[in-house]
Amino acid sequence: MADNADHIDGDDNEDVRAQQNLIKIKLKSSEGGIYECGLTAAKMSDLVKNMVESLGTDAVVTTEPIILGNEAVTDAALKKIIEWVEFHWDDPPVDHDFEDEKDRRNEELSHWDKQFIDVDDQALLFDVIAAANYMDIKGLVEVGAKHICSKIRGKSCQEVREMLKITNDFTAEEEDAIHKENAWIYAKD
Amino acid sequence: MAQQMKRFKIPLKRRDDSNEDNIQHPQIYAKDSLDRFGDDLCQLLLSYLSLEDIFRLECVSKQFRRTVFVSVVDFTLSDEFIQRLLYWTAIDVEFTIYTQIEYTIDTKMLATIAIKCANIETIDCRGISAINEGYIPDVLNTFRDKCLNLRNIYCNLYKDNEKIMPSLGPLVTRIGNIGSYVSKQALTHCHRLSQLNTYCFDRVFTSVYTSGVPLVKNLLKYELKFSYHPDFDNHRLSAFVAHNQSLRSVVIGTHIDGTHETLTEMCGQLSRLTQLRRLSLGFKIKGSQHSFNDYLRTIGVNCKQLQRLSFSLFSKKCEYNLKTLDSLAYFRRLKRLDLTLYVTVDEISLDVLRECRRLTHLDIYLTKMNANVFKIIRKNCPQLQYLCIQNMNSIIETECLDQISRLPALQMLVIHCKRSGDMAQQMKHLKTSLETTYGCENEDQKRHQPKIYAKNSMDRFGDDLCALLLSYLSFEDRFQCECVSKQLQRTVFASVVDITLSDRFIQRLLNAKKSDTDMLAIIAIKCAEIQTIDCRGITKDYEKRIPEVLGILRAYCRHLRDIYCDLGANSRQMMATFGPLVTRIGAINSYNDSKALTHCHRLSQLRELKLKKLSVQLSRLPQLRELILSLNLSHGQTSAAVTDFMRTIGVNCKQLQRLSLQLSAQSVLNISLDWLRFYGPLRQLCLEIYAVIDERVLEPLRHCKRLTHLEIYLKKINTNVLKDLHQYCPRLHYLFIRDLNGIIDTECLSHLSRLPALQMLVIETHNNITTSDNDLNAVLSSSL
Repeated sequence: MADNADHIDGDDNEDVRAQQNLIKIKLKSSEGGIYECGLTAAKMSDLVKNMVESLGTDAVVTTEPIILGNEAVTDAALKKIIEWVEFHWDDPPVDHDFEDEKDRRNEELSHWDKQFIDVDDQALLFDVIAAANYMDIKGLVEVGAKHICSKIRGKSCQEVREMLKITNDFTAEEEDAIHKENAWIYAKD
Repeated sequence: MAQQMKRFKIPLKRRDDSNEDNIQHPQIYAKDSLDRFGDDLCQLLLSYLSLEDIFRLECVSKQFRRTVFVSVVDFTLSDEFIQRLLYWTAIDVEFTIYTQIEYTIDTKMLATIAIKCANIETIDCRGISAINEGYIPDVLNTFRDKCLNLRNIYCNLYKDNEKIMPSLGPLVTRIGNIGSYVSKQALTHCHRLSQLNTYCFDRVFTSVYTSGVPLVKNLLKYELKFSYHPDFDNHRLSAFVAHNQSLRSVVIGTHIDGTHETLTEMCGQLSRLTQLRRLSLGFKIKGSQHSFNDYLRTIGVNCKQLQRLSFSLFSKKCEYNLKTLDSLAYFRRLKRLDLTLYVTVDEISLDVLRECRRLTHLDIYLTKMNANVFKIIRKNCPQLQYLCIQNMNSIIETECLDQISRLPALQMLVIHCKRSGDMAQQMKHLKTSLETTYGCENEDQKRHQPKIYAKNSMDRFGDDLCALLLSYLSFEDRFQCECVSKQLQRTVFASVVDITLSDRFIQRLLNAKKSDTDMLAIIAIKCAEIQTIDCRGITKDYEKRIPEVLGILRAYCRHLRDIYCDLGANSRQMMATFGPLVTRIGAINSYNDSKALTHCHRLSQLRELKLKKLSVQLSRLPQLRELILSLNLSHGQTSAAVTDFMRTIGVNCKQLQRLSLQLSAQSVLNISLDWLRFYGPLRQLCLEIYAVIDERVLEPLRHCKRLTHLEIYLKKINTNVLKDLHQYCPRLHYLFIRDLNGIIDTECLSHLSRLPALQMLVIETHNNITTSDNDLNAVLSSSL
């Protein structure tokens, strides 16, 4: 183990990644739009990565585009997703030896990510999140999740329903019962 | 459970009124409504909510109610949380008009919470302050009863909760602190403990005064917040280290103050933690007898996994000579370095950072910093992502920033600054230069044109191949060839990995015109790749010079890992410094101080030990593979003493594979080899016994099933001794017997012929063998 590791995590690996990203592959949205994306960037999606690996890189580059069949992958969402992966593909890999999962979860989003995810059109925002989830891009789903949770923070149930357009399917009694159960949360400090 | 039952109910109900149409058609949700997401994704999104929000939003919708608690896996208790669950009752104080207010925890409410968060695996109550400590047992018991997935509890060990340790101890995996008056027995219930923080080191031992076995074993992380006194604590550290070999992180939060010897010993002990990934350490140094480079080197050489190092040095004396941090070169895998030097020196050379090319995080505090420091960082740390500068003198100027701006991988820069000055303007400069970092390095390389070499010239080979070819040269020849060409100069020493010191070598150095130390330093610098030094062959005349020679070689050879040497007159002093590097000892020439051996905890070979009473020292060498012993029993001693002695070694040196024992005892009647039962892993055994033996002397060999090589020198060997050998040692393939009495006869050979794996049989005898060739043939044919 010791000897191998000496060589790997150097510049070589990064160069390979950079070079691979010069190779463009095509991704096809559920609406039929075809978009180009760097190979390394596209491989941030585990779905695409698996497809590329099973088909072979050459086949993917020369032949048909990869079809992303989920209805959430609209043209607009796919454009957003490509924008995100093209920005993030050269992020340093997560160092599992130290990076506490918990710390990472609590870390605030970067400025770029905040601006990226702050989309006025909520339909598009949800498309992006659903599509990222379908395409298995963990980092982007996390960005979406953190964004939504930051919007929820401190709001009342009703405000949250209004904001996220959630239908209230509780009866008034059920709701009251729950409020009672959670009385401690409203207690004075 | 309750929650799951509820979920189960819903579909059941639906089935009853299935005549309604709305179940057949999947419901269509608005695009911009969170309702469109399934439970899985919804749960994932909500998993980033705080605990409070989770409970507040439970009644947003049924989907929320189903999903919002699923991701509550870690539960961190806070004072606020407990305060909210308290209710008070007024109790009349008897015979007075006063009433007293008593707070009780609302266990019903708590149970509801626990039932909702059924997935809780971990509860962390280390942050609870002393006022609320008393409620913790109730809270933990409730969660334990309701949350079936609960596996980890992180807590402090105080008087209030020591009583619940017998029941909850097995769940406790992290302890944040141990109070002063806690019964130490409470700790013994936490047998899954992996992380521990304490204020004092004695908290992990049964008593303040004794050492003995520590209360905690197999820890992964240990943090000592307050005090470590090498004088008192070193002997305990040895036991602690022995029982916690799994440690990955050790943080000692104070500046340790001690003498050179005690600090050396401490670092020697720490260096036995080969799994260590993270280490935090600081020294308070008073005089110049300390050599902190030595301390760090010991650790660096042995703890190869170390990736995070925090090192701080505090020295009051201004004239302390601190020029370099050479020892950092041994930490090649380091990714994060936190360096604090409260030392006033003119300039510290950080050149050594070039050995730590993997550094991604650097946190640095130096009393005097200048642009040169940053230049070195810029040159040597290409992977640096994070740089934190504790800048107290406001020396960060444009030139420094210019250097920083050229770090290619930098993502975060933190500058602590007392005086703000005109930082803003300089930062602006940094910003612009950050944007123009790319691609000016490669131009030099592009200018080189590939050269064409003659086919028949050695020049055509690259450096790698050249080094390989030259690696067959002798040590002296290399120095002769050095000036052949630049390529040879570069490559000829690359393959010097082992060096054997001889009398002649040292003699030559003495005769050289320059002072010998300079000479040696030059050699050492050239042969920077040396890993092993063998100085076992050096005779008494030059013995005195060994420490000096080793000192110089070690100073320059950063890869030095093994020293093979003899234990001579000046062993004590030498072992204190070089002990951790010594892996083989050839001979113990004059017995001074057996303690010298304890420094050599990586020792794997030891020969010719003509000493008694060493078992305790020897047994501290768990890495020992080969041991050659010679025991001479005097009149007072019995064979029981031998048994004790050998058992102590056997029990502790589990790696021992080759043992050679010479035992002479004139007056003792019966020698027993019963102790062999503790030597299960033994592969090779050489027994030389000059004493009266009985026929069953070899019977204990049945414990050594793995034995492949056996040599026997017995005074009065006879046929019956060898009778059952094939049963004892089924794997034996080499057997040597010295036969002084000429008793090897046909019967004897037929015994030997039953050894199933025997490949080689050597019989040394002074008499003529009386057996016929036929007998020998029989042995060979049956054993092949």
